[in-house]
Amino acid sequence: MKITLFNSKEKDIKKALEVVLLSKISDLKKEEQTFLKELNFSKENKSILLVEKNKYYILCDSLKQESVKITLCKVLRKLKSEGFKKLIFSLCTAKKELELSSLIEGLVLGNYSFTKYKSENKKTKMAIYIDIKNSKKDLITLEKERKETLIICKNMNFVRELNNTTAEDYAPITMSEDARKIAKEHDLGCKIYGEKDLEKMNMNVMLAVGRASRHESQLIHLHYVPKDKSLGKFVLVGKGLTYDCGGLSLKPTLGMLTMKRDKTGGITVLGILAALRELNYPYEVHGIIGAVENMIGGDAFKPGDVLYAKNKVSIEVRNTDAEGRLVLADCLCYAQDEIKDIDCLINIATLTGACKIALGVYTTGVMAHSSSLKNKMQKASNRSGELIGTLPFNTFLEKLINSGIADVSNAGSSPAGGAITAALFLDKFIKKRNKKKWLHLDMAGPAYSEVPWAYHSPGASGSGLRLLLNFIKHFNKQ
Amino acid sequence: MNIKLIKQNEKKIEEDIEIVLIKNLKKVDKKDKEVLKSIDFTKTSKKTFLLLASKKLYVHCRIFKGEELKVLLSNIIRELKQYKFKSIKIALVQENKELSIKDICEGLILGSYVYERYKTKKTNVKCNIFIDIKASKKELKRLELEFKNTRIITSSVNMVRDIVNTTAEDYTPETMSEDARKIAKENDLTCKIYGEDYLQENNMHTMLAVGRASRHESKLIHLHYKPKSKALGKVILVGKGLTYDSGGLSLKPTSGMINMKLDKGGGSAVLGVMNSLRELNYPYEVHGIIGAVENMIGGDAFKPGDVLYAKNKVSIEVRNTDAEGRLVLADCLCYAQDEIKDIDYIFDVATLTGACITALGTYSTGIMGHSDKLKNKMRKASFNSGELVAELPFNSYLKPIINSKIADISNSTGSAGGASILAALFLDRFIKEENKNKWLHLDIAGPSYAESPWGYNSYGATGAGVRLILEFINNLKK
Repeated sequence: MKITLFNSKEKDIKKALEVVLLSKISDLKKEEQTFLKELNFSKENKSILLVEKNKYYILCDSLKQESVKITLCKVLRKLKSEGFKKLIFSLCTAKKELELSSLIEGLVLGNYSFTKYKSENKKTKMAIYIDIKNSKKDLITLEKERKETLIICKNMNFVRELNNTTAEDYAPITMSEDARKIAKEHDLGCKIYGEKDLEKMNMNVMLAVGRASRHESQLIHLHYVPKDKSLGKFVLVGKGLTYDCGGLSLKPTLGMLTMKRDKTGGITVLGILAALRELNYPYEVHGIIGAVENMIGGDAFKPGDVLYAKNKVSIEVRNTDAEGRLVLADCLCYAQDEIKDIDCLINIATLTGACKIALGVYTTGVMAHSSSLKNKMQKASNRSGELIGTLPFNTFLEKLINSGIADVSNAGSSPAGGAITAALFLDKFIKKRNKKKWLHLDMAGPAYSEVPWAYHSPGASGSGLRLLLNFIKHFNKQ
Repeated sequence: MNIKLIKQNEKKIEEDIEIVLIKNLKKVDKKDKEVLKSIDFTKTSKKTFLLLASKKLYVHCRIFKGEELKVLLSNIIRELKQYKFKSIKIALVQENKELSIKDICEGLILGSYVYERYKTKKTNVKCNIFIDIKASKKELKRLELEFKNTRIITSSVNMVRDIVNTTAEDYTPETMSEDARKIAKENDLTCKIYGEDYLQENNMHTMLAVGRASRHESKLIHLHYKPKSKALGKVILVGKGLTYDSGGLSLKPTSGMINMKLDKGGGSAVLGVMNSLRELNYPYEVHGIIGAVENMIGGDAFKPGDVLYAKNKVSIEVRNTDAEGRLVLADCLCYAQDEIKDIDYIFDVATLTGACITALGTYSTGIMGHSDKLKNKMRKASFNSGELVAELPFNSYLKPIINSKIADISNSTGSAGGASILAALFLDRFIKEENKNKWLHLDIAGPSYAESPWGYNSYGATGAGVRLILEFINNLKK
């Protein structure tokens, strides 16, 4: 898809269908209103194609952010399926200037579909022209916005593509190859550690999870340093379970079906690191990923085992399917041992089913000790359009992860507050000085859906990327 | 338990034991200091030290206020009751710090509650507690008022605990109406009780359907408190009073049915609030509306697949007869808004969804609504009252999930998660446009009943909601 900005005052785009976005019919000229009304154009009948005028009219619930994105995604899919290849949109419509980023996100993200495994793989090239007539912004600002949004969308589709790739084609080693490639392309530091290194570094908990798999576990550490002076240091830790069958605490058939998605946290970290150089963000960012496959077998770790994490905390394994927090525990230890003076430490993972039950499948759960960080994340949510909900800690829940024989247990003694108790488990691996700098994002819900929603096609949504890039971008401004 | 204040000029009380809170040994009598030193009291995990010779119970205390103090005092009173002391003293000023009478009374009164109606041998010993206020720097009048108010509130909380703890066989919708009448008489409230004929005549078919298979008649209870002075505003409380919930034809599993006498927690909390207002002399008009119903299985039971019409004519497809609370609340919310004009606040309180427990843990009340301002106020009330709350956010993707194919909405939904939020969005359909921003939904499924004691809550009902709502109303003045 090619997106070009133009001004209809200066240039005419020929043979293109013009899409007219409206919030109500009265936004139109009288004459247009009359014949649209005759055609019963209304809230019940929201779109009309007028061939002789070469115009496609569509009613939007509102002309704000998400609503625009969702409408544009629908328009694009429909017109594409009907064979239109050249479309014109207006930035200023219905006496309002839309956000250019919303237009582009709706189109580019809505245009994505996963066809890697389809024999018939027809990709239509779409040409999109955005008319900037009457815009209050100048061309340079708009071009910059266009470029930035396209970088973000490109990486979001990259994240979707990798997450949709099956576990057979995407092992921990594939992820480290991708990391190396990204590092080379974007001038990032890159360290990859295999199982021998993990053993040397006492990361036995992460090792245990990957033990039964025929694929070697990989610890990936990417490092972005801005060309100019850095304004702060972020550490992102991602859960990269390339497949999770649950281990001996085996998942039921249905629950296992989409478990290639359990690498979403890690892939999201890859996507963010791939975007930073082009976006030229003035922050130092470390991306750390535990890439592991959780399988069942003669060598599998067992419910009842006691494992020692890198920081020597002992963990009673009561459920081998609560493996994400085990991998994250060692990765969080590694991050804090290796990196000093952290300003913000964020881990991101498809961690608990409880989070879906709590907030619905569209919302990422946010947990932290610091209200100020949670507020910042809420602002990033409002700006980016990714939904979040905060789940609060309390002293009574802390006791649910107490273990009779070790320091902590990896599964709560009751399913109540399951997302929160998982976060409280991770909290045991956050150093005192970093407690107030830490955020945990549980994206078990929005990461993946077999039913399409908003501007996401079936499969991976790429959630997390826009939220975190937005969070980083505005970190010092608030 | 009998609590009294010891004022300036009162003669000395001969107490059996005095509770002394200490952070360190600086202020302790020389003789006792030696003893406490010898056991190295700061280093042990034991918190209480009984010195019979000096008639003192020394308590190692780190924080002298709030929830920590309440929980500590509740543990102490439970310990002291075992020793069968008849008369216990505690000074308001400890280590030169003036404690709050509210914290002390709540800790002692709520902590010493036990429910023994069905025990042949009663363990509850009568004891006198004296709070020595001689060293207080506060005005006597203020102390006495705080003391009085706390006792009113705690006695209502314990009343609610008694109600909820009473088995369904002994507590039917009829019993609840009798209690309402009694409370109305004692507190000079207006009280209207309606039976099934009224429900029939007034098109409250949804509520009627839920109670149909039960041998107990459903009751709609309406209590009304009017302050003696001019009212500053109007608050409506709507409570779910399912005196038993077997689930109906969508029968609950054995273990899920055991505690279902708790399903009247919301309605009982409303009774508790209404029982406090007159004595607290709150300057707000408050309506308490309760749908008291028993959900049973039987030849006459309503069925999954039925379509019911609520009082406001919205049609509801019943997909699960165990999602009955929202059905009863729907009609009650309609009734409330039809009968009462110019509402300032409308809250419903209910033990509504298991999902809320999975979301937040068993200790927190889920709050849902459209108005951020109102939610913030409720959070503030949570902080002051000590009852935990957390917000579960709405979003536009969850909204359409409650739509039904054959009716306007459905009472139970598929697998998109967020079941607590979906329940709230169901109730939202019964909130009139003018009241949308005045409405909050409180899901107390978690904290209303404790299978294992926590904090100052003993086994069974906790009285959740009473302190929270009273605190909310009290804060409105400011």
